[in-house]
Amino acid sequence: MDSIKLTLPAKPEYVSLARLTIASVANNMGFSIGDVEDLKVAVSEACTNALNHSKNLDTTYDLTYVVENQKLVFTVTDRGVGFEPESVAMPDLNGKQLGGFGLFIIKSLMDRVEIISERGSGTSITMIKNLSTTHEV
Amino acid sequence: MNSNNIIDIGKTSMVSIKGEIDIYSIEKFRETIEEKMKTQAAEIILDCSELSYMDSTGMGVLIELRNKSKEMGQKIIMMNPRPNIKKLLALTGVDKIIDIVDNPVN
Repeated sequence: MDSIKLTLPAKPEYVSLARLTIASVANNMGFSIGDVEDLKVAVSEACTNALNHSKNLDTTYDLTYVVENQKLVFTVTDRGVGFEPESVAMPDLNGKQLGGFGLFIIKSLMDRVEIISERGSGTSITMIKNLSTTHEV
Repeated sequence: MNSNNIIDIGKTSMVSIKGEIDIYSIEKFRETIEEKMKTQAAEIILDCSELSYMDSTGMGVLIELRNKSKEMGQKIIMMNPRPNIKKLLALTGVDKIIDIVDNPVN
């Protein structure tokens, strides 16, 4: 079981680095092209969430990838303002409520998602994607 | 995100959206579409053939500007989005409010 840890500045220009690294890890594990795209979106959404909840631009957030047997477990942990996951409303296409798409997308694309958040202390989003056996060569 | 090859044909205005749309490039994306909306073209076509990535930040701006353009009697059309982007458009339901076309010429 390999573990990789990155600490990124809470700045928009580094979110692409999270996508690059997860794509590399997932490709090495043998994920399909479609699953790699889903993983890139999920990590990017979680990083965007971390940035939106960060207290200022001088902070950092952590990204951990754990390569397990037949699955990738990854966590984005920020030290931001925190939020109540249950209170995030579904987005509204009429434009009245545009937030909430990120969490909705993460939950739709990943096999398992766990969110731990505390007001004032930060948020940790753990996502699990199973390695599909249908794509094995 | 890069945008160029802006083509205005009568009441249709086309702009090529390239690269990635995320929290870093989202304002450039918004400005590009808003600039096209100012031309008062009836249809604003976003050529997404070379757009490799878009996440919820892009979806949010698309919804917002689609609603704004609708009020102004304009229409935003996405042309040739890649399968990964099409999947997100379907997942979020954005494909129900924004026209998506595949241009076989490209």
